[in-house]
Amino acid sequence: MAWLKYIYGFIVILVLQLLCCEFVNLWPMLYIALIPIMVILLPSSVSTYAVMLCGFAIGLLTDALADGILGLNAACCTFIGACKNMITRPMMKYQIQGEDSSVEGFEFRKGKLVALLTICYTLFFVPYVLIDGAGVSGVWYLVARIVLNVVVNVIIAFLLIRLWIRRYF
Amino acid sequence: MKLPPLIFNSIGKFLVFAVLETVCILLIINSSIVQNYRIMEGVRNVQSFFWEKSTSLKKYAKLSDSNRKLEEENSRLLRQNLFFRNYIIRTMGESKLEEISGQLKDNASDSSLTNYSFTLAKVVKNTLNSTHNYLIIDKGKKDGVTEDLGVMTPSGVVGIVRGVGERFSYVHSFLNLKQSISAKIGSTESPGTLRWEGGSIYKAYLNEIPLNTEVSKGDTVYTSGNSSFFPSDIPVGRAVSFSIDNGAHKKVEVELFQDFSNLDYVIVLRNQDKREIDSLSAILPPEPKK
Repeated sequence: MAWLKYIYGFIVILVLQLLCCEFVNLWPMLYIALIPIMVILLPSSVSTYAVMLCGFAIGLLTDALADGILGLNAACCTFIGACKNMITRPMMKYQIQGEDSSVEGFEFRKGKLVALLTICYTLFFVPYVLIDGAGVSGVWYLVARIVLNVVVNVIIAFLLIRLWIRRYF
Repeated sequence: MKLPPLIFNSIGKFLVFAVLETVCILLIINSSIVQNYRIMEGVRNVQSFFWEKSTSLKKYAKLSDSNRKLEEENSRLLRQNLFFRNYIIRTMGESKLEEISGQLKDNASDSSLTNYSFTLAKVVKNTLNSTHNYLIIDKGKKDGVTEDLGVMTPSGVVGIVRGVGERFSYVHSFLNLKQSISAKIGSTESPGTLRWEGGSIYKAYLNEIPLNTEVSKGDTVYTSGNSSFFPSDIPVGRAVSFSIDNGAHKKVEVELFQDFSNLDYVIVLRNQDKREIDSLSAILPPEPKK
C-alpha cells in the first residue's frame, strides 16, 4: 500500500510540475523544478540502479509532456538518482543512530532536510544550467542562475514536503 | 582473480549511469540545434586534444627526417643564391649586384605581402580520403585566428579557415569540392578559378580562362590576389595540359606544388585590410530602375 501512496504522490507532483512548466513563467532565469523531489523521496531501501532508472523515467516523462529540450530533465534526474543513496544513507544513519531504520528523507529535521534538498538541487541545476546555457552565457550569469534556482527551489520543495508530503505519508 | 562484490557493484552502477546519460545526451543533441552545436564543439575539443598528442608523437618520431629535409632545403637555397650572385657578378659586375639588392629591399616594402600578417600553425589532423577534406590546426581564437583566413605553406595554398575554437581551427582544405581559389596562369592577368575536382591529390583544374589567353605546358599558376584570402603571385602549380571547355573557356590541368600528404606546419594569413574590403564588398550596387 505504501507504494500506491508513493505513486499517487508522484502523479500529483508530476501534474504540478507540468502546470508550472506551462503556466508559471516568472523569469527566463528561473525554473521551478518539482520532479527532483520525486527522486529524493524514493525510499532508501530502493537500490541505486532502480533510483537511477526511476529518475530517468520521471525526467523523460516530464520532458515529453512539457515543452522543453528532450532529455534535459532526464539527464539531471538520472544524475540525482546516481548520487541520492550516497547522500541520504549517511544522513539517515547519523540521525537514527542505528535504531530506527524507517526514517526517510521527508522525515528529516528542518536543518537536515534543507541540507539534503540543497545538495540534491545543486546536483540537479549544475548540469541543467550548463546544458541549457550551453556556453552561450557568461560564467557569472551561469553561477547566478544556479544559485538563484537552487535557493528558490529548495524553499518551494521544503514547504511542499513540510506542509503536504510529510502529513500525507 | 575474482572482483570483490563492492567493486563489481560500483562498476555496474557506473555503467548503468553512463548508458542512461548517453541516451539523454543523444536525445538533447537531436532535439536542439544550439545544444547539438555546443556539445559537438566539446567533443571536437576532446578529439583535437588526442589528435594533437598523437600528432606530436608522430612528429617526434619523424624529427630526424624533418631535420634532413630542412638541411636539404637550406643547402638548395644556398646553392641557388650563390648561383644567382655569381651569375650577376659574372655578367653585369659587382656594382650591379649591389644595385639589384637595393632595389629588392625597396620593393619588399611595397609588396602585396606587407598587408598580411603570418601565424605559424601545426597541423593536428589532415584528411585526404574524402571529397570534402579538412585540416585541424593548433591555433584558434586565443592566437588571433578568425574565420575566413587563408592558409598556405611556402609550396602553395592549403585552404581557408572555416571554424574557430579557442585553441584549434577547422580549415577547409583546398582538396575539398566546395573550395576554390582565384588564380592566374603565367604572366597573364586573366584570373580563373582553381578547383580540385576529386581524384589525385596532386592535380587541380584552372577553369574559366579566356580563349585568347596564351597557355603553354609548364606555365606556372599563381594566386591572382583577387580575393582577400591570399596575396597575389604565390606559385601554386604548373600547367600540364589544357582543353577548351564548352567552346567558351580554356580549362587547364594543373600539377600542384603543394604535397598535401606531407603537411606538418602551415602559415595562417591575415589580411590587415580584409575588414575594409569585406565591408565594401557587402555594399550592393542599387538596382537599376525599370
